[in-house]
Amino acid sequence: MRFKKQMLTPYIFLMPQLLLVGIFAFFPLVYNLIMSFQEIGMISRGFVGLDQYVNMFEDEVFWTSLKNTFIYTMGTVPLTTLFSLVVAVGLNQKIAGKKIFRTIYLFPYLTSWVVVGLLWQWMYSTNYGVLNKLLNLIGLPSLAWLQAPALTIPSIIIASIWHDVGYYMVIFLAGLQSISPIYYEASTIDGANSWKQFRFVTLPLLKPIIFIVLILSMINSFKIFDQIYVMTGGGPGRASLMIVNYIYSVIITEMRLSYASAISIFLFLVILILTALQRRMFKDSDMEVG
Amino acid sequence: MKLQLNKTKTNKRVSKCLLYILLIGGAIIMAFPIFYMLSLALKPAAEIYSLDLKLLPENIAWSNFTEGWARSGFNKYFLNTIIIAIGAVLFSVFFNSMAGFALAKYNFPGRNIIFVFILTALMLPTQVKMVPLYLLMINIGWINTFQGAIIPTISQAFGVFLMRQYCLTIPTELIEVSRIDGCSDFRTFWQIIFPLCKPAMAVNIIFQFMWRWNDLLWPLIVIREEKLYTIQQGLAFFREDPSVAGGPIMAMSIVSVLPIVVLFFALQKYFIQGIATTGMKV
Amino acid sequence: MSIWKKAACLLMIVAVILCITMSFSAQEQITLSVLYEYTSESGRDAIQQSLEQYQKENPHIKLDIQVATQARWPELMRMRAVANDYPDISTCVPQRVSEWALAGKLAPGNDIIPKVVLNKYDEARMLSVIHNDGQIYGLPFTDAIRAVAYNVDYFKKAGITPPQKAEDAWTWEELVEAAKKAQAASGAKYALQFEKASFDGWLSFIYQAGAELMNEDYTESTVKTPEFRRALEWTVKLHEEEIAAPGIIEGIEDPVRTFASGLTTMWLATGHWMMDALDPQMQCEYAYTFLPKDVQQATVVGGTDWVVFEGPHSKEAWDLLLYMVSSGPMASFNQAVTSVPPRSDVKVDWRIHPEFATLFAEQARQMPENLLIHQLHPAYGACRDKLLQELSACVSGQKSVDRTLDAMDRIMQDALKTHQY
Repeated sequence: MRFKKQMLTPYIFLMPQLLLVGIFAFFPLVYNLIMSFQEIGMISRGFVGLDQYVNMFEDEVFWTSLKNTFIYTMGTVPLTTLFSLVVAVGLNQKIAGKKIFRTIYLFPYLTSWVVVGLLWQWMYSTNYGVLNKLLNLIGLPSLAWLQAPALTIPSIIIASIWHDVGYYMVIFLAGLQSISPIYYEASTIDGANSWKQFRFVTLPLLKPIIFIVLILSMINSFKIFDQIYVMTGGGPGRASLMIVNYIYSVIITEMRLSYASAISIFLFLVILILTALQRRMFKDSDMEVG
Repeated sequence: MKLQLNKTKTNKRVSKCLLYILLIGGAIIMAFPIFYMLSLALKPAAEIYSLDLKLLPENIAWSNFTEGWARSGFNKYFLNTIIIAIGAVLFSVFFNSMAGFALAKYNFPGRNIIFVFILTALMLPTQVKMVPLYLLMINIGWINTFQGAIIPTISQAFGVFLMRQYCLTIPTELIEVSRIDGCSDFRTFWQIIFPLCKPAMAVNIIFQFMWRWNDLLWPLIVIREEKLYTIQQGLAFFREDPSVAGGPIMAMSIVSVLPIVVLFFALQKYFIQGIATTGMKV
Repeated sequence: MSIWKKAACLLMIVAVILCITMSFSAQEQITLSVLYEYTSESGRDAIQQSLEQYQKENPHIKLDIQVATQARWPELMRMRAVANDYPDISTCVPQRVSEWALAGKLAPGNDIIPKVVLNKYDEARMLSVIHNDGQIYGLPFTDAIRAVAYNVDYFKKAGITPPQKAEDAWTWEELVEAAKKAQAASGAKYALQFEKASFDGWLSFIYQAGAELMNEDYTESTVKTPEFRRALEWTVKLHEEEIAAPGIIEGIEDPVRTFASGLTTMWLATGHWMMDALDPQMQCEYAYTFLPKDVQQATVVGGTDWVVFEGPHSKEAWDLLLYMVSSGPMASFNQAVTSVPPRSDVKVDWRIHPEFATLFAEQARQMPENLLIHQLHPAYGACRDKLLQELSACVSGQKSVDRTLDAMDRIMQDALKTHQY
């Protein structure tokens, strides 16, 4: 009797969370999958097989949004990881004012994009933005931050890094603080300076955390929506149109629900594959993913 | 020997200096936009629209705050958002710790699959889920209700990760001891494990609260009546009204961030402890 | 208390409860779902007050109200449409009514609208709500007329008085010259700015150049004509030469702030509804003049209509609609947002700048008939967001004029194929 009860316990503990995930995350996924094989919208036609996916591959706007999302991800992920690692390592040293620094670096993450999106849009403005005023003050020419198509995505990358650095910094801090000081003491005895310590002690031990941060930041970059919605609306033209923004506009402006579902499934598969690939790349390191 | 020691000492001092410079420089960059937002919130319209570069306001316009507060109905929205955020936090914390505990301390068939299952929940953005979830809400009549605003948002995977990592660091002996003492696993969880997880829970609480506080899309879809709006909804509508000037918008934006900041400061001690001991196991 | 007394008390309580519930059900409450959009708080308050008044006078009707800013209305309406959870009555921008009418979602009120009310509306203005062979799906609530706002102080410095009579309206060249002179005299950063991220405002310039979106039978796109190209090239050139403020058409800069802080001398294709926002924020005095002419004068008249959706309570919804467009509520709304009521018998005294009312009335008369019909055609409503994206790409230098015209032509042609009456 006791044996049976014990076997059931983990499942019972997991039940509420699984129920929630099943209904509120898995069901929408399945719904989108089923919808993507139909044509439903203002005009509904039922089952159409792979038509929506064919439409998607022939859709110029879709490819633009995919390209933009890739560019954004490639810019944001390495830079955010690098900056948050550097800051975390810096804050892990013996310095004064740790609490204040931590708060300042984490604060932007506590704000919502509804709040700071408008702020950044104003700061970036070519007409009255404070960033250009500052540039002019030190003698540099103004930049058309959001308005020049080549600069739109970089400007958004900068704003995103500013916002998210604190979050990943916290994760890195957690990892750094759980490295036992024994390792450092041992390496100091061996005559290593701080740089060598970082390269041969910290980094290798931090590999799993770096991996987690890379995956999280990559998934989050692919899901980007709020910054674009608030700051540029996908513009100018379609220079900053990202995939989730495109899905959103297909639903809201064109009401082609099935088409939106097809793109959503595609996005999901891309994220899944990239995550699996990254996991494979880090497979040689010790991974506590169970 | 002595020369070498001196050299390392100055090296250390130089690198410490560099470190401070970098950190302070970074902090200035991080803090500048917030500081600018504050200055905008305190400036009267004439100064905001002036084309000179003046970072500090000459005349402090407290009217931005009073006018914004009076016009936007924020007092109601605050209450609504607090209810939703607290509700979400209570559910999350409880369910996340249960799930994390199970995943960390038990070995059972399907453990990996379940973990991956929960992980995939991370991968779908809200915009993709909004149509089917909206249909679901309509069908069970949860539109325009608090439960409709709370329940669908608590399937986040972050909390499960966190609790699982933390539970991994709790010695298994504790559980075995209490089992020998005759406690059921549920009692063990409730009376021993749960209280031990306080630091990690503090981290979870802060992030879950903040995410619910800052969520715009889901409340926008589910909540229809103006008296049930959340802060972000109210702020978005306030912002999109062209007759509202920049000053009050920024003032209300700052007001909307304050509770999160207060919560963060209040829980900072546990937050730091939670980070330190959450044992992202290396 | 003895058990019999207890039982008697209980029975009495049950009886009272039954009576109360029965009296409620005897009243037969009907719930109407109302969705409306607003551009300013005063407009929202005016509509809210009228709705509450209606509820007071009709206690058996309960109003379930959802509100949206004009920017959010398409989003919220779509979500409800997706779930088949249509409101019973809603406001709607005239260009969007045809879409819902063609999809069969609206309820006609031909038998319900009194002839007396119909006669008060201008036939041309009713075009937005009449579809499917004469079915009337709603009634207009307000007219929004586009003109040109200008900075009075700047023009005074340049010694120029913009035309105040329609026949004196500037040509394109004259307008740009005047703006440049005012810019030079005042030191403003740019000479002029376009309206905002909306294709509707720019539509005026297409028709001013003598071009049009579609041909006479509304079957083919007429985008690739020299006249259309002229309008596009003119707009692009203004941006290239930094005469027009950048970022406005692209939706990245805030047009109100740009004009109110004195960065430009003129705001093209904006209208009287902006006065609510401009008056408190404008740093100098401002006034209005006419949209320029090229081959002809042309302005776009938009506004808001109330429409009724198909549903179990469409009759009650029509009753509410007729109330909202009756003289009281219509006057109070148009007064609050400084707008023009589309009914001949409702007169409104503007509380902000009543002196501009005559100019707008004259400007409204400069709408050519083909523009009126084309802007209300379902194909235009369906593709105008995409057209705007192409315009935005062209103006920001991403696409050449040729490629933009090709893209716009394709978009218009596709829309005409799939969105016909």
